Amino acid sequence: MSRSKTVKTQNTLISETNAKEEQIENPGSGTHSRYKNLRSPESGSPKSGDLSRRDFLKSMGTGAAVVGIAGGCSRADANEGLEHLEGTNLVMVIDLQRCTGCGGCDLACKSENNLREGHFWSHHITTTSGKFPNVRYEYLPTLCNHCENAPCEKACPTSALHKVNGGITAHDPQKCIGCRACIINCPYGEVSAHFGQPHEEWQEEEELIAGVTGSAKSTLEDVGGERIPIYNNERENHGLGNRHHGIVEKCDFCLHRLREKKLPACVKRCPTDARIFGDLNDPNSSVSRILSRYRPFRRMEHLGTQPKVFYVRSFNAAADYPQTKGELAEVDTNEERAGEFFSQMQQNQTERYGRDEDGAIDITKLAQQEQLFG
Amino acid sequence: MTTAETATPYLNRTSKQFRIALILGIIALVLGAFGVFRVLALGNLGNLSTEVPWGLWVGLYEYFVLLEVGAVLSFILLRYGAGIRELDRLGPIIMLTALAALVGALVSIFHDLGQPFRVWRPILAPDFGSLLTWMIWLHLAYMIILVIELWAYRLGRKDIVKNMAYISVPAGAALVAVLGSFLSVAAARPLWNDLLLPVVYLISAFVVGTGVVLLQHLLFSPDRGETIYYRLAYRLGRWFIAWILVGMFTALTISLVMTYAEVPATAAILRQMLTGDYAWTLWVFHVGLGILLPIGLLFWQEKIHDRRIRVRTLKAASGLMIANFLMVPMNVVIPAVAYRYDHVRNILVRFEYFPHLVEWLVMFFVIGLMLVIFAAGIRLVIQPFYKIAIQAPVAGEAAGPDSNEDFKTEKQ
Repeated sequence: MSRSKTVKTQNTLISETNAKEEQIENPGSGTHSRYKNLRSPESGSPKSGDLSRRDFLKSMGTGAAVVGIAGGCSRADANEGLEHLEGTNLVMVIDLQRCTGCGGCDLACKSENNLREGHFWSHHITTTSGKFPNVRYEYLPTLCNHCENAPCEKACPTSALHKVNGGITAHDPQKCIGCRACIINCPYGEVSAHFGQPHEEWQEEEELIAGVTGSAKSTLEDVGGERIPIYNNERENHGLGNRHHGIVEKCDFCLHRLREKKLPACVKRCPTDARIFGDLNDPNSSVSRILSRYRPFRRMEHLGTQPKVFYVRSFNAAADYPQTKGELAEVDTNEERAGEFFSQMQQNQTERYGRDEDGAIDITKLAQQEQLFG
Repeated sequence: MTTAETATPYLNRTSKQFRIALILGIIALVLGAFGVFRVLALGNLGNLSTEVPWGLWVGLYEYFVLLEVGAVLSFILLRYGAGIRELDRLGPIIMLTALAALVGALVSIFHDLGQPFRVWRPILAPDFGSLLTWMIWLHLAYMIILVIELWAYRLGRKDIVKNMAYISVPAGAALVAVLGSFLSVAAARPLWNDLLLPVVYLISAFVVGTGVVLLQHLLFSPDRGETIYYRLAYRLGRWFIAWILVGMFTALTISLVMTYAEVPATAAILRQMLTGDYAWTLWVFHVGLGILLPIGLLFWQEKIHDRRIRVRTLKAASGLMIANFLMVPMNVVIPAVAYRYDHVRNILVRFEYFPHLVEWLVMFFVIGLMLVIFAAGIRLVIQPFYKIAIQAPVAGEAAGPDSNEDFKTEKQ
C-alpha cells in the first residue's frame, strides 16, 4: 500500500523557481523595494502602549519565522494537475526488438529536463559478447523504474520522494536535504546527485568549437541573458530548468508533460515506437495487451521492488538468424530472398503490432495518448 | 589526610588536561575552518559523486556513533552488569566522551548533506517510514539523555544518574541497531544486505566502547597512582581482550559466510576489500594496528611486573584500537558504494574515491570541536563533580539519600 504523501506540485515549483530567478536578476522588483517608500502618515515616535518599531519588527520577524517553518512543513496536494491520472497504474513497456539503440530517448530527456553534463535520467546499458565473427551486441534502455515498492521512497526521511497519481515516484526538490539515502538504496543507479551550481554550464565562456560556435554564456546572452534557454517560450515544454545544488534528481515520467496530457518526452521522441506508455489497470490499453502477449522481464526482479518498466522481446532478435550467427559461409546472398526478408521486416515495423488472429495492438503515440487521456 | 587534600592534585591535573584539550581543539578548529567554509558557503562536497555518494564523512559519522553508544553501553555493562563499583567516579568522563562523540557524529553528517540547512525537515516534517528519520530522532533522544545525565553528575544526583543510565541502554542499543539496519536493508548494496549487520554493529560498539572506558580510566581516573587504579586497569584490560576476541570471531564468521556462499556481487566486492588497491587500509590499519597489535600488547602486559610499564602498554593498546577502529566503518561504507555489481553485464564496476582535502579538513574541524566540548565539559561537569565528591562525608559517616557517597574514592 502506497503511503499518501503530499507535496507542492512541480508546476508550483517551476513558477516559484522562476519567481526566485526573477527576484535575483531584478532585485528591485521584490516586495521590499515596492513598499519601502510607503510610510504611515501618523508615523513618528511610538506613544506609550503602542508598539515600537523594534517591537513591531520583532513580532513580524517571529511571525515570519513561524509562518516560514509552517509553510515548509505544510503539504500541498501532490496530485495537483494530475487528477486525470487518479486510479491509473502507469507503466512503460520497452520493446527491445523495435529499439534500434539510437539513443534518441536519452537526448530527448536531457533536452526536456535540462540535465547537466554526465547526468542521464534516460540511459542505456550496452553489452558486447562473443568473438568475431560470433559477436553479439545488446542494448538495454534504462530509466527510473518507478517501482511499486520503491526503496528510494522508503529511504527518504523528508518525503521528498513520494508517490503521485499513476504510481509515479516523484521528487520534490524543495524538500530534499541531499542525504543521498535514495541513491544508496536504488538498485538500478537511477538517482543522480547534483553537486554543481544551478545553470553553471551556461556560464562557461569556452566556445564548443573555437571560432565556429558560440560559448554557453554567449548563447545565454543571445536569448536575452535573463533566462537559460530551457525557459525559451518557443519550446513546446520543459521540465524544471533550475537544477538545485546538493540535491538528488531522477526521472519522473515527465510529470510536467503528463499534467498537460502529453506523453513523456522519451516516448514522444522514440522514432520506432519502442517505448509504449500506458495504464496497466486498463485491460484494453496497449501496454496491458503487449504484456499479456509477450513474456516480459524487469530489471533485478528478485529484489522485490516491482519495477514498472517492462521489457519485451529481444534487442538482438536478428541474431537468431543464421546470417549473424557467424555462419558466414552459409549466408543467403540471393537478392530476391533478401528483398523478401527486408519487406517482411518493414511490415513488422509498421504501426500495427503483431500479426496474429487476436487483432493487432495499436502502439502509435496517438493511440497511447488517446487511451490514457481520452 | 583529608579527601580534599588527596583530590587537589587531581583537580590540578584536570585543569592541565583542560588546557591541552582546549589548545589542541582550537588548533584543529582553525585548521578545519577552511574546509567547513568550502562546504557550507560554496557547497563543495569533496570527491563525493553520484557514483560514490557516501565517503569519509559518513564513515566518520558511523565511527562516532559506535563510540558514543559503545562507551555508554560498555560502562553500564561493567558498572551495573559486572558490578564494578569503582567505575562510578569515571561516569561523568564517559558521558562527556559520549556527548563529544555524539556532537562529532552530528557535525560530520551535517556537512555531508547536500542542503545542510534543511536539516530541520526530518525533525519538523518527518517521514517515519524512513530509517534515517528514526536515526535522527533517536540521536536527539540520546543527546537529551546524555545532557541530563551529565547535569545530574554535576549536581551530584545519584538517583537521576542511575535512572538515566538505565534509559540510555535501550536508546543507545536502538540507535546502533537502526544504524546497522539502515545499511542492512539496502538490497541495492549486497555487501550490507545482511541480517547480521545490526548485531555486528552492536558488538563493535561494545568492543570500541570497552576500549574507551579503559583509556579514559587510564587518562582521567582520579585514583591515579593508587592500587585501585592499577587493579581496575588490569580488570578492564581483560574485559577489553574478551570483547576484541568476540568482535574478531564475529567479523571472521561473517567474512567466511560471505566467501563460502560466493554470491557473485558480494564475493566480488569482498575480494576487492581483501586484495584490491585499498586492501592496505584493512590489513595495515584495521587488522594490524587495530586488532593484532593491541591483542599482542594486551596479552604481553599480563606478564609485566612493572605497574607503570603495564599501564603504558594498556594505554597504547586501547589508543591504537580506538584510533584504528575508524577503519571499520570506512571499510563497511566505502567499498559498498565504490564497487557496483552490474547485473546486466555481470561485471564489477569500480568508481574511484579517495577523500578530498576538504573532507579531511572537515574531519579536523569535527575533532577540534569535540576537543573543545570535552574541555568545556571538564570545567563545567568534571571539576564541579569532584568538588562535590570531595566535600561529601567519607564512607561510614551520615549521608543524605542523594549524596554521592558512591562516587568517592575507596580507601586502600
